[in-house]
Amino acid sequence: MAQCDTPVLSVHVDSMFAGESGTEIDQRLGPETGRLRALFDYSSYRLLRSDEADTQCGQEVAFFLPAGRILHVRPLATHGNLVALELALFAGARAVMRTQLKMFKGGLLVLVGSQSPQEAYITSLTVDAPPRLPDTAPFGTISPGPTPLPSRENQIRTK
Amino acid sequence: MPACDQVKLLLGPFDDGELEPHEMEEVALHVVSCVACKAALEGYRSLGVALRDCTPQPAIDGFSAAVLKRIGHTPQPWWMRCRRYFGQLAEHAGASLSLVAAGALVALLTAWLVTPYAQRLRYRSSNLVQVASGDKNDVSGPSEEVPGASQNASLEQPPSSMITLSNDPTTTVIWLPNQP
Repeated sequence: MAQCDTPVLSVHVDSMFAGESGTEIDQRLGPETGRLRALFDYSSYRLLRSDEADTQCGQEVAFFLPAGRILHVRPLATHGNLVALELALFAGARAVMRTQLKMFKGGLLVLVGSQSPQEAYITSLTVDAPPRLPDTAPFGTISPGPTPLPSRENQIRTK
Repeated sequence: MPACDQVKLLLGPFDDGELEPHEMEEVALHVVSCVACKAALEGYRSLGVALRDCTPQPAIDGFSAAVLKRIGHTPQPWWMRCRRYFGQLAEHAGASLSLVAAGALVALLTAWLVTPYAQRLRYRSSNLVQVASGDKNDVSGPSEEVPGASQNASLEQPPSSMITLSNDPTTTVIWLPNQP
């Protein structure tokens, strides 16, 4: 049985395009830029979209990524400062990746999809306790932002 | 019947067979009945034989080779040289093409085999530590293991197409080669 000591989790997903041509850094990335530059050697980062959704243990939330990818995130358990997640990345109906992992709340998970060494689509994911609970609608209310899976009951916000 | 003076002018060509048929016939009839013209004709024949005997025959040993050599040195138009070049190229193309194709195949296979490892080395050079493992843990109760370590990773593609890396406890990188 999943154990969750945090009732609500906020999942934040940023989708970026990184390349070795140019030196433009999207200012909207903010402090995330430093972490990306510490991890990768790309010279330019452009934020493509930024989504956030609140969910709870066992409930899956879907994020639409560039290039037609869909990322499913399901918190499995929380324990102290740790969160166990199940991730599934789909290209259309085909599952490209499915994995389970643990990460710190507020930690950074980076998915890198690269077809050439000169450029990559980078998706960063952070899970944390939400800054505030939604008091206008319970879980299951779909916001006008990115579209979650029809069967999923989650709230997604687009920044 | 032509006079001897006229016939004697024709004896030389007659002996060489160069007269018209009717002239040949007239000269032949005259010579049969004219001793003088017959003697003159014999003189022509003797003279011809003697001339042919005394003329040295040129040596023709190596004649064909010499002619072909001179033909080979004859300047040829550019289009003919091109055609000859491509003709020779086509003769060697069969063997050369198979060698080139085999070499290209080996190069492609090598690149295909080596590229994933080279890309792994590239990411390792960023001081990231690969932490992916196939251990199956009970995710219902997270333990105090190092966060970021992949647990129970599964793929519909070969497992080697996903690499999980981590350089500190708060950061995990999952690299998906050949995925946008």
